[in-house]
Amino acid sequence: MAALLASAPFGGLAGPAASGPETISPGKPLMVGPYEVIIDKVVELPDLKPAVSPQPSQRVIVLDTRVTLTGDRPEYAVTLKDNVAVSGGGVKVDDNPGLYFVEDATAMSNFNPGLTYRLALTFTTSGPWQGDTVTVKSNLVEFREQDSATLDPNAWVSRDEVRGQGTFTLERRS
Amino acid sequence: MRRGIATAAFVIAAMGLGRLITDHMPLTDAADKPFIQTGAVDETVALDYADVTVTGVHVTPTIMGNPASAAGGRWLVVDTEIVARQAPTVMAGFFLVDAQDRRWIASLRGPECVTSARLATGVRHYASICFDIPKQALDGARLMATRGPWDSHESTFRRDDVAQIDLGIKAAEVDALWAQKDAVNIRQSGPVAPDAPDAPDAPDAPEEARQ
Repeated sequence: MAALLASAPFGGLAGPAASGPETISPGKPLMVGPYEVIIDKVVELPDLKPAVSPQPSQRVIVLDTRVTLTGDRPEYAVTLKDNVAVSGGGVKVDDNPGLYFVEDATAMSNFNPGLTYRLALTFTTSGPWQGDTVTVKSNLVEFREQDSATLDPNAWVSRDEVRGQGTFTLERRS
Repeated sequence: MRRGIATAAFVIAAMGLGRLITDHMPLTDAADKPFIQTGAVDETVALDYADVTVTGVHVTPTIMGNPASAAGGRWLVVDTEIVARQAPTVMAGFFLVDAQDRRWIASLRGPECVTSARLATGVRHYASICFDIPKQALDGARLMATRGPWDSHESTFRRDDVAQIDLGIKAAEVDALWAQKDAVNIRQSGPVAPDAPDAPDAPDAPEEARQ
């Protein structure tokens, strides 16, 4: 007890540090595993041809991003795609987003380090988005050097924990 | 009693033998390493399962097509011809290693760019492999070609033959290559028709090509 009291000036009686998701906002870099992601804006479109051609009743939510693979080895795009989600529109969102190079609409399936791309991260929705804001969340993705339970060392692993969260104003285009 | 002592001695001897094996046999890195066969542009590298030849190397910011495909850095396009030697084979492992021993993987973004080749036995197969890379990857770049796709553990081609083909890019050439602006047209990948001008079975093929 005495030791605990003595540690009070140094924070011994303080509660746990406040923790929570990092705030995602337009233009602010966010790390999704090895990827540095900057979301510039969020746009709703009826389609993103030729890359995404949904049904007429559906819409496409596009995160207009700049993505850089940090680190020193190639990575596959799934590590990024599977760990960013949108919500808050009162519609069903396809949980298998697409990732396309904005300049030529080609799909990005892998990355080499050190290059920055302007990419569209696309989510097909069941209908028009309700409301004028979109909540964007990213998962915590950690580097696992060793895992005695698997033969998969030095891998990026998604944790069931929100790493970043933010609200974006939705731009609508027809 | 005697039997118990014998059993204990046997167990101790077995443990000692196990220790000797783990101490002196290459059970980790060395045992996992692939068998590297080296070559250069226009040389055929013979693997157990295929012959691999790099026939062309291009550096460009743009691959022609509809739409044309722009690189994030530059495209390094490697034209190859591959022949399966004894059985149909899929080669899915094409990656680059640069002068600093870093890895760079191939992209499917460019029209006609492929990341694998499905080979019929004895049939020449053309494939263009496209790498979107930063400038530092050009110096000393070597194409690695094998059956298993690249992954971060490089586990899919352990103990397998791998072609390592020097693309002939020297450090002094990097700036000039990076500055090139001409777009590149890529030929469709697939089997080379027997009547193609340089096919070995073509009537007008050179004598040495038919051998």
